[in-house]
Amino acid sequence: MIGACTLLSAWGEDAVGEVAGKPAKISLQDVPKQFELWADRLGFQWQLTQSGALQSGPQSYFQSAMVLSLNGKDFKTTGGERLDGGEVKVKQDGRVVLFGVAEGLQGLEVTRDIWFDHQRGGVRYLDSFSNKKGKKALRLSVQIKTLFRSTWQDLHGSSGKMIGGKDSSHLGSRDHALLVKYSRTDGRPDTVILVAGDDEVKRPKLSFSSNHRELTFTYDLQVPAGGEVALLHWIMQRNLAAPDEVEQVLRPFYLRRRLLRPEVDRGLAKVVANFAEAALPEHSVQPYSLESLVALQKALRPYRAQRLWEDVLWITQENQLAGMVNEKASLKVETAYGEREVTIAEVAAIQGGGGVGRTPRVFLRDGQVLAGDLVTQGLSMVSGDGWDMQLKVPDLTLLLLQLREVDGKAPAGTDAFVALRSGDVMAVKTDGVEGDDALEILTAWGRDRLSLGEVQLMRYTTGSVPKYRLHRKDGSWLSVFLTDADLQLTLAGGREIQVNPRELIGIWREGDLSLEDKADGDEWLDFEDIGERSALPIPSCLLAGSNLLQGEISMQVLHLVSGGAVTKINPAEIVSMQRLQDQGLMPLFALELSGGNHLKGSLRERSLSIKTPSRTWDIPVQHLVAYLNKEVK
Amino acid sequence: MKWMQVNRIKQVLLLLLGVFLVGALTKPDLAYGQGAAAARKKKPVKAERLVPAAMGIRTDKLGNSWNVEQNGNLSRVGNNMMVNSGLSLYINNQQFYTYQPMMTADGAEYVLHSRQSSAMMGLQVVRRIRLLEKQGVMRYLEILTNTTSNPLTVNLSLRTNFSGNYKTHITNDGRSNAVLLGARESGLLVMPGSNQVNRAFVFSLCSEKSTLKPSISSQNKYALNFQYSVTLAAGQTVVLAHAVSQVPLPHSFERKTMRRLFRPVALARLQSFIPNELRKLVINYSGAASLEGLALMGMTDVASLGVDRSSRDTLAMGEKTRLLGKASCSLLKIQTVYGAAQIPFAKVAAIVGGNRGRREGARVFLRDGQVFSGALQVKALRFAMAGGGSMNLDVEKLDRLVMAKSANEGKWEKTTVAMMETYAGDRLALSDGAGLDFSGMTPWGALHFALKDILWMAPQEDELVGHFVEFKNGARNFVYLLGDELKVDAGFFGKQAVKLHELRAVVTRASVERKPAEDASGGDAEVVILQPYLKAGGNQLIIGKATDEQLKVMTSTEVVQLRPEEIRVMKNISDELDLDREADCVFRFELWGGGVVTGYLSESFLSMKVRGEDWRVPLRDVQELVTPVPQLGETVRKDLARLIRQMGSVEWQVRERATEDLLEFGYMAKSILQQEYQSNGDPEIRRRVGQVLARLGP
Repeated sequence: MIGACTLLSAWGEDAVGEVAGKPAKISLQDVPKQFELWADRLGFQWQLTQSGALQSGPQSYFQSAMVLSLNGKDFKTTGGERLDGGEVKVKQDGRVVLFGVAEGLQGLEVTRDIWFDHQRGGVRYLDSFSNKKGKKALRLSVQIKTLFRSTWQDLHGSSGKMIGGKDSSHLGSRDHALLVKYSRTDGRPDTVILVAGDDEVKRPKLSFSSNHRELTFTYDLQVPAGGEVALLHWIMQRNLAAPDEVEQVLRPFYLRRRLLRPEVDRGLAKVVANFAEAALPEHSVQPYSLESLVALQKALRPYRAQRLWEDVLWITQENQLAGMVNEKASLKVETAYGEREVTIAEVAAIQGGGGVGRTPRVFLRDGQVLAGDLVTQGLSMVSGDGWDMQLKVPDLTLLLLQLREVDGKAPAGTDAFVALRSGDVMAVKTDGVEGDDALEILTAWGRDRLSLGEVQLMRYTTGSVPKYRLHRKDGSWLSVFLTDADLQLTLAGGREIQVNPRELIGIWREGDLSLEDKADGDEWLDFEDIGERSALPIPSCLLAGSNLLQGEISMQVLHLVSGGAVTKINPAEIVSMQRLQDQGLMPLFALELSGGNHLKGSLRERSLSIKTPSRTWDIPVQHLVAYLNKEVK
Repeated sequence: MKWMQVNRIKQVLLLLLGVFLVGALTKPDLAYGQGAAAARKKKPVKAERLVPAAMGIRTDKLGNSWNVEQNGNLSRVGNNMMVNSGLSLYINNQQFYTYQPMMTADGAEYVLHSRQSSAMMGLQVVRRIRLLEKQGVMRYLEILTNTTSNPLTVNLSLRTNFSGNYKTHITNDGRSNAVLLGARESGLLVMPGSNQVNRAFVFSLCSEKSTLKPSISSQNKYALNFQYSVTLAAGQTVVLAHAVSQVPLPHSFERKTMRRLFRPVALARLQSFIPNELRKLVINYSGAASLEGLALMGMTDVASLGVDRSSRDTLAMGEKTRLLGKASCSLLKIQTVYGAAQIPFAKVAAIVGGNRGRREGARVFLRDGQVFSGALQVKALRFAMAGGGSMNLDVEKLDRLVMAKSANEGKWEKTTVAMMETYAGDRLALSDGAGLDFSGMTPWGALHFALKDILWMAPQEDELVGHFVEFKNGARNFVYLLGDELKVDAGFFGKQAVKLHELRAVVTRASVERKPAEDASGGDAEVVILQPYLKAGGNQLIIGKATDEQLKVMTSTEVVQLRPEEIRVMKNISDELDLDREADCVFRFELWGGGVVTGYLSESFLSMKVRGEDWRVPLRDVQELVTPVPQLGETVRKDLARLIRQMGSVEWQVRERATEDLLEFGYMAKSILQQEYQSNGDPEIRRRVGQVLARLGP
């Protein structure tokens, strides 16, 4: 359970996401003896050497890992390039490609493509052996050796079986990874190496030294003349409480016989010897925007489930069946807001009754969710083994339909999504809709009304006290309660429905993926706690309770008391005001005025009038944390 | 012969005296008097089953290994942990040792009782240590009990030795190498000096607003010492809570990063992992449960003026000058925003003047707790020094004048029903609460209440805006107040309209005068609530009846329909099952008729009637719904009354049989028995009722 929980919560978004703009490729004239230290998300350190071997930095768990030798001769680097812009910065991936040769193997070109995945916490090796210029096939004995600084306790296969004794030269037929386990008293992390797929592939021979410090994977390969062969491995460091946790470690990398985001070109995927070509799927489907399926991503998180390129009947974490759902199936959902009929092509996932009578939910590819009693027609699935199963929704835990290009494309006319406690998520129109001031909110300083079009984001949070966090389009952030005066929603399709505002658990804008709640229990003490200055509304008042009002002090004059002297200040001249550590009763503020003057003092006024577009608020001075009136240059 | 008899008698008397003395010396209770008995009687933790502890290395869900040794200190795991010996407890410089480490029956928590030592005479110390696996936090509770009949001041140190120098320690506010924690600081991040270690340590030592914070001393960066000075009254038990976590080395120390690192170990987040009985006793955390009465009016009081009060009046000038003597004044008038008022000088506890122009305006503190600010007009304000000589005092130049304490200090006028504090720091005595009604909104519905219904209303550390309200019936709700102004009768100033947004806190007489109830185990009891109530997030307690006709519980095999009145306790166990609360809520229902049902609810809300309003509480906000009193039929009520009477019978067998018969009723009788325990004057009945309650358990 190591970092798996924290890792997998991000994995859901990562494993099939778009890749950000690629960094520059830099050629390495001189390959350094050691590259810079990399620290992954879980805090484990990695350091690549000139030959492509790995060390673990000053922590010295590995003396050297993934050392490559061919036919008994060490791999020698002749050049390389960096695909990561030349340097790995904090929280970034690293990618180094090393070219080289091995003594006695003329004509063989060896490439080590090494990718450090910060987020998932591991290093991927793609070692390729090219005989493009050769006229004869080459027999290669490839050895990948790892030497540890201290004695391990046990070796385990990924199926959990301990390796040792007589029959210790091969991983079990169900093992696709090796776990090097240390005793907990040793305080050293364990190492997991993913070595082979499940299918009929080239599996390494395993050997290890009697002092339990060195282990070697040996592959006997034949590289055809004019062709090439490759080997793919992942190596990870983890702290495992028990060997059977290794399955959880592997899930972000290898699931249901597929490698997840291995970053392998199509051409090389065909020649990887230790994983079947099918294990390196072609990513021909590019979903429109998976992240936009907000409700689905959230629903899948507790299951740690992942939608891929096949339909999957998810039974438990350990039991999943891949196959093909009947394309002609249709569903009728009786939601709290009316009946809706959909075809299976529109569906991304179905969460069924789970055998416990839970209300089913149908997650549509357009981001909407229908919750209610479900009647299906023709809902069945043919598994990969050809077994035809009728699927009964009351018994179903989760049915995941494969990715499609339309995934995440909102219905036409959608301005926002509204999530309700019933489980429904509706695409709604908010802009240009009649009926202003639809939503009445209550803050600590009074009421206000706003239209749904003014809502950027709203979420019901628990935190210390249950409440809504409202982010308005004008940039304000407020903790609010809602009244129960009915709210009219115009669905994207044009239909109108009435809902009780307290049924809302969330509103978000279509296409807005910045859904992070900016106040997860920590009090905002400065504007920098919210974000970049350039993104802040100006003028704005930062108030206690992590509230931000987009508005200006509308009083004619303020009186700043300092050392008995009283200075009159025109609020319009204030560039910024920041609360300092309170001294005595009234808060102390530091002011910057537009003339360049800086003042410190407390305000004589007991409350401030803050004018926002919708109303003027009376705020106790005790609640003011900071004020930004003009752009700071 | 006679002298032999006298000698014999003398010998016997000497022998008896010796026996007595031996008994006295070996029984510390007798030596320390009543305090010990009182302390023993007050058992802060209800009886729990402890078993010998199985110490050993544990790994949390974040992959960090922990090794707690038998005295509670953290021991090094492997070569790459920066802590060699962490959080060793020292009391008055003597290390804490235990005879036999124990743990709770489920193995989740170590409970270590101190071995007596000379430095800890009269002090009982218990360490409770729990690994919160999901959060990756090791939570400590240091429980100190003063068993003597005198106050006791204790120096408590938590010492940590590191393997090699550590690089630096940084507070959660970003200050490095601090020796004291400042206003917004609650703990330290300690960075390893060696590159061989990939984890830093985060120590959470208090809450940000706690008045008790440790001093920090470092020995050449090999060791850190956190020291607290704690004074315990006779018989008092206090708890010092702290926690530690291991984190991947941070790459930056900006506030956002520090907050992320400190969030999991913040004491506010660990409250639910502290036993209920101990939560109120925590002295280094100021949160919703810990403040009551006038302590809620925290903006200002005479003590904040920095002048020690003695039997004489004190004229303070700056930080270092204190003149003792007698102050007098023939007229004192203050012009405030509420109007003008003349104040009898005898009622004044302190005056804060202009301090030669360093302050604007003046403040007057009255003995009953009121505070007024404004322009002060005085006649013949004089100070006669103790040694002779006198001076006329000018309010413009006056720093602070603090009167000697009087017998009436802190006592409210008879006509005062409540004190109201504004955000400006004024505190007004309200004379007539009739008609003083409030309206507010909660997340679940509207709340209307009168001043007479409440104990206090104030913001809390966890929620700086909005108001928590504690009601006389035990309810606790968080509200945003509705309305523009409040019409009050403010004593000196008469009828006033106070803007609602200026209102900070209200404390009623009932809050100040209430005494804590004692439960059968000798601990402080919460208010006994006989109506159904719901515990919700933010330490809220909603008193009201569930109005759903039936609740459909989906168990693993079938749907069970329950009527709310059949349910004794409905508890949200989603956290125990490590479920995502937003997605699914699982509840455990304990029924009056016996039996337990566990499952999901088909509904997403619980409907309740609260003070006449219809509320809908989302299930994810429900922690626990309790119906303390079952709907008892008339026959059952009569039976219970008869058995309670029989507990006071002159015949022993009748009393015994009645006790056993009452036990048979089980939980159905509990609330009635709790009421009897508090109200019944017959000591035998009370004793027996206490026995039954103790056997029924929590």
